[in-house]
Amino acid sequence: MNRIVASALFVALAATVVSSSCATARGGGGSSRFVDVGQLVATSTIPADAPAVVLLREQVINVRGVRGVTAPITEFRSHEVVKILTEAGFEAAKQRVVIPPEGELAEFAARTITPDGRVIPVDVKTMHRTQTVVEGSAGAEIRFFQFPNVEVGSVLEIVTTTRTNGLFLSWSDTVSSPFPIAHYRADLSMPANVKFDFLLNGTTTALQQVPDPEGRQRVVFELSDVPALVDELWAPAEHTGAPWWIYRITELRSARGGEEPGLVAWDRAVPNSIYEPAAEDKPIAGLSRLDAGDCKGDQRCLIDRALERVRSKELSEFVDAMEVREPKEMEPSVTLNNVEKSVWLWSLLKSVDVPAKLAVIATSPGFPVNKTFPAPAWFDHALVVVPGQGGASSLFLDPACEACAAGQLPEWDRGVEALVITPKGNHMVLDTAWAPVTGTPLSLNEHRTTYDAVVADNGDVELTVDDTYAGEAAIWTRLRTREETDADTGHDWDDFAKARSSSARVLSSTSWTCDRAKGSCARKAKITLPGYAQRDGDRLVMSLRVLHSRLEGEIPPETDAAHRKSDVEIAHEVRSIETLRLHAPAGFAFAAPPPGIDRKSDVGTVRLSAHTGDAGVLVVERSVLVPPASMPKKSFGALVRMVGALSAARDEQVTLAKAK
Amino acid sequence: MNFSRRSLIVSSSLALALAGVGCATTGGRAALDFAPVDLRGLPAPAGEPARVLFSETVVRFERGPDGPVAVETHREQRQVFSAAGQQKTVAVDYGSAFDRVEQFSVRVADAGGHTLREWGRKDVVDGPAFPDFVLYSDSRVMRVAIPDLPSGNVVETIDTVRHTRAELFAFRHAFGVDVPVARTRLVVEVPAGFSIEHAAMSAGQRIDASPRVEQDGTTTRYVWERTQLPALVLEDHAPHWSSLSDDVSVRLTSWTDATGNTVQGIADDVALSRFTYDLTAARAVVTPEIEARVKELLQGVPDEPRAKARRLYAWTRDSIRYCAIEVGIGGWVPHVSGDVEKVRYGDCKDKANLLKAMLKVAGINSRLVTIYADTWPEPFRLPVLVGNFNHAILVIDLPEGPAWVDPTTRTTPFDDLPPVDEDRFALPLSDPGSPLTATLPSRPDREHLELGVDAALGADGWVRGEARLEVNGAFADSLRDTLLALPATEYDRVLGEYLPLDGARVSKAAFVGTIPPEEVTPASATAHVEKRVGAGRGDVLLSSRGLLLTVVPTIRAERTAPVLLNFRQSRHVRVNVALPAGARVERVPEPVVIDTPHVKYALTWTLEGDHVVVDRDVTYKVRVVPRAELAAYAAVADQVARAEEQKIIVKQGS
Repeated sequence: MNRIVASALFVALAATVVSSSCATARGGGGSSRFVDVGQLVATSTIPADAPAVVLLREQVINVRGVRGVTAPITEFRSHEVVKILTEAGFEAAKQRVVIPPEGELAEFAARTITPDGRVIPVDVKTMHRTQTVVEGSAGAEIRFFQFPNVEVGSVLEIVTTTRTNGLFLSWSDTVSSPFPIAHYRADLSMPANVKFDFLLNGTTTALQQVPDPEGRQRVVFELSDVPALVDELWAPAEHTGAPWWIYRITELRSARGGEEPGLVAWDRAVPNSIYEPAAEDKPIAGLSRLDAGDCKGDQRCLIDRALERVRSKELSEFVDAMEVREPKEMEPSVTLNNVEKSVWLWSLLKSVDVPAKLAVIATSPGFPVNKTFPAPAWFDHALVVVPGQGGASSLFLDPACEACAAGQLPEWDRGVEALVITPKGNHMVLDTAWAPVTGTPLSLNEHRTTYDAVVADNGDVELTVDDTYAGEAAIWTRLRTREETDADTGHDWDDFAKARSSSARVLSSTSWTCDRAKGSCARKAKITLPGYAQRDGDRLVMSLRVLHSRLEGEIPPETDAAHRKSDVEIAHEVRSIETLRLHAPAGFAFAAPPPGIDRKSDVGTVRLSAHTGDAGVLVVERSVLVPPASMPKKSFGALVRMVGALSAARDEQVTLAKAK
Repeated sequence: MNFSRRSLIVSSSLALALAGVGCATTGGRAALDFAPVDLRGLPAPAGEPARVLFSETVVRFERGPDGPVAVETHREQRQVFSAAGQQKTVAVDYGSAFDRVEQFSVRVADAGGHTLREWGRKDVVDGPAFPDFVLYSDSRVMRVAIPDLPSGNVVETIDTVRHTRAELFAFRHAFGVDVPVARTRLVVEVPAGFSIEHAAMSAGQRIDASPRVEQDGTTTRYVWERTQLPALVLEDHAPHWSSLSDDVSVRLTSWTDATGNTVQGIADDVALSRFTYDLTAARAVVTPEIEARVKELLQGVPDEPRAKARRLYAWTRDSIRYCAIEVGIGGWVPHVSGDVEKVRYGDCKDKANLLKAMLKVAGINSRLVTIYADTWPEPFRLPVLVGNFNHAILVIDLPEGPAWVDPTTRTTPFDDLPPVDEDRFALPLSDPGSPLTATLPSRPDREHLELGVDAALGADGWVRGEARLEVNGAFADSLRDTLLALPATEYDRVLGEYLPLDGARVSKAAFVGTIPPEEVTPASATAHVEKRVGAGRGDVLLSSRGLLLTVVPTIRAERTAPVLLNFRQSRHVRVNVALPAGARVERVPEPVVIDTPHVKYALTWTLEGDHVVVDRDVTYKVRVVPRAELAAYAAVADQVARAEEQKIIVKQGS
């Protein structure tokens, strides 16, 4: 992380303008807006594995006219230069420029430079525009155009400035794009009477505080060779996969209003969606209240009742945008997102005078909040805290974990600190404090599949499958499957069967049924596998290919770890256990069970064990455990090897010999 | 062309937009009220995620100030039982220029019909509706978000859209959706002096469906009604369920204008060809720049029409980027050829029209062709402009006969078509008019894949060796398409996806013939492949399925949807595996040879010294297995699946 506190009020004025090695304005294409593309290409690393490369991405935020003016103007200038490397890069030629409501497009210039150096400007007359309308009011305007004469090797350059009224107290943005970026530059400047603080995360690149002749304060930073965002298994989340930055205004002075406080402490970093209810410190009007029943004021009883009540509305999504709908939208809905659940739980507890507080956390693993930089952008999850009485520790409640009893916590809450919000008593003023989130883990988190396989003497196998998820894994399963139809589940079972044998046929099956309060999901099927075992004289020979875990589908045998592009961020533990019970046909007995596997590495554990159980049944158990972790991409090879070892177990042979 | 799937289902909501036509006034009609919720006589829900209690399309034709107008009203009551059955949003599509949304009302009611929540025009989000592949269009959508509802709640929607130029549309109502339907109907109200034509289809086949006809003063009302329809199911290797419902389409065939004169609509496919030709003919303009471009491109090309056409086609295919901008009439009429040549981008009709202009310079006649391009093309229902076609190609009239080309593709050679265009009926556009005409067929002798693998089974249970792939026709086009898009670092992975080996690691991939050719030409590749088939101890079970991907999809016994087998094609794979020292195979499975009207399949295992060879030949003889032949196909697919699972046992040691 890197940070600079820039205050133009205290910066000596000097007539120095920061120069960007990648943004030298040389008037290409007849306009000073454009860069010298030749120089830009010469100083850029052109990746071999991308369909296009962003030679330059420049983002400029420029606040104007605050002094003595009630409505400052914020300009967002974007300058991007893209080189097309393969035909998949042609997508970059399609452009949509979004102009915010009540904003304007103050600057636009775009051009194509063909591989042979011809410069072809985009004709503004070819732009199309449309207006969105939101509940009767004008929404964003969108303008559309396509770069002309695009070929592999073309360079596309676009400069836009949108202007909107107002001042953003805080703003965060990410650096990366679907294509790798050779040069990135951000440039923020504010009038002299606005102080702001800036934080750059995910890189050690230095910030430059730029003296400005007009007394404006200005911060610039530049990055090189930013990798592309990629859609890979266990790719890092937005805030951990690439550099990102936040600014916050810490002080605003105007001739008319005097000094106004900015975002200097965590109280003003509380996300908007929960700031108001937390400050009001009373049950939210329009949301139903808790019936205290026969709790007789017992706080634990009231908490249990409130949790049960909140569970009546199902978790709809594990949001990271901290969105809360109006009570009139929440009340009739049978689902709530994570933040809405916490807000309703808090409101229910307030309605029976339980002194609950709201709290917010960042669930991204491996990226703790920088506590010296208050900003709402850190947070992606909300909790409720009930302060302990008589010296007892506080009770953290996470209603997104519907199977969690009071005091139990899911994996994503453990080991983090929460910003606990306390009303000050004055309207719209809050106190905040950091506190470690404490609680006991949810007891079980696993995916367990049991197969009862009855082998016939002609080699056919009848399979009974019980597939269950428990704990956090059940929460994700319910979120993933809650909108599936019976037909969807039927297709899933077909795929399940075909992964084991091309001649497999599903005889009967059930859809997922989940008990959200218990944290469990289950489904069953009967599957026939004609010719699964091969007759060989008096023997039957079969593989263990009936075993097949989700992880083997996600990291198939052909995976080449050398092609991994992103680092690895395993946010949720994977624990998969398969148990195969093989029943021999009459007159047959199992020969020696397959040898076991016990392979533990830094990235996880794979096990296979087999033994002969009651009534001559051969029991094979295979398991894999992958704990949450963040690791560099080079470690992906260890994961591939681990899953390879898991998968190799499927090729072990089991032999049944006919009794003499 | 507008490719929107939704636009084909509710054809009248397309951005239809013909220049110069203005909106008519509503005549001050009162908004429609919500209907009572009536559950009487309905069975208790039996596990379905939702059911449609009632749905209705009412199309009322009227005389407008500038021609016939259709006022189209959709109503639906849907009872929701689970999250799977609830729409997150309800919406109405419209074209901003020539459609006007007169009413959009939504409510949520309980099972007793009491309104719990209501939305009107003031509550909508109104914005662009076009799909991602379109850069810009004037199609729009009004939508409201519906909260997740408790089981039993009813969502009721009413939308009314007024369409000008009604003679250009077919108004279609689908009898069946993905949930059960209690009652659904199409009502068409036709005033005196107007006449209509209708067509009914089921899964692409024409069926009989006569309406009930009622007279109400001078208005004739046609009513088609169905009750108790089962849910349509989405199957693998099948058209989307929305293409499988029974449906009725209606169009205006004649009307009287303001002076009382009768105006005839487009009579048939030939007249539609002529009508569309008139819209597009003036767009193939030869400019000096186009003339110069043609002259430059034909330098050194033999002075014969086919060679010249082939060269001009390849340039258009390779040099004009696909970019769809569909505004008003632009959904059906290309941009002027000179503009497209200048900016080097355009959509299907822009590219075909530019090629037409360039061919004109070379003295070669050609015709634009409209076509429904898809794996499951919508059938031609009625002769109207909107909804029958979603794509434009070109037929070039050479002395030796017509050559079909699709310049929108990136890799398909001259006088060939991509699979989505093949085996279809398409409409060439011409001044006298042309009938619907069969396009090129897909051909197993051309669409061919040949794979040979020479490998050895190691003591560690891995098979390692060299693969040689040769692909032709659509297989080659597809491979070239992928290679053009991806950097060379992805080539091993790409080839891994093209080889019909299941889960094999590919390295050292090398390709020959990857530049899109002008004529049908094979492409080939070699690579090192490796695949684990055993645990590295004991015997090894080896099956065709263990080595190769399956190619004949099995289907469930209860299936009702046709099976889409993709284009007619042939694939031959031969895998030669050297056994480890001391290993032996005592028996191999008997050969399996199947030859049916749908599929030809042959699987042979042979022992050749210390090698075992598996040889598989598969030919798709048809693209689609129709409903009536599903049982026969299912039996064959099962037979193939069993053959693929037959195993040999590679025994180690004595």
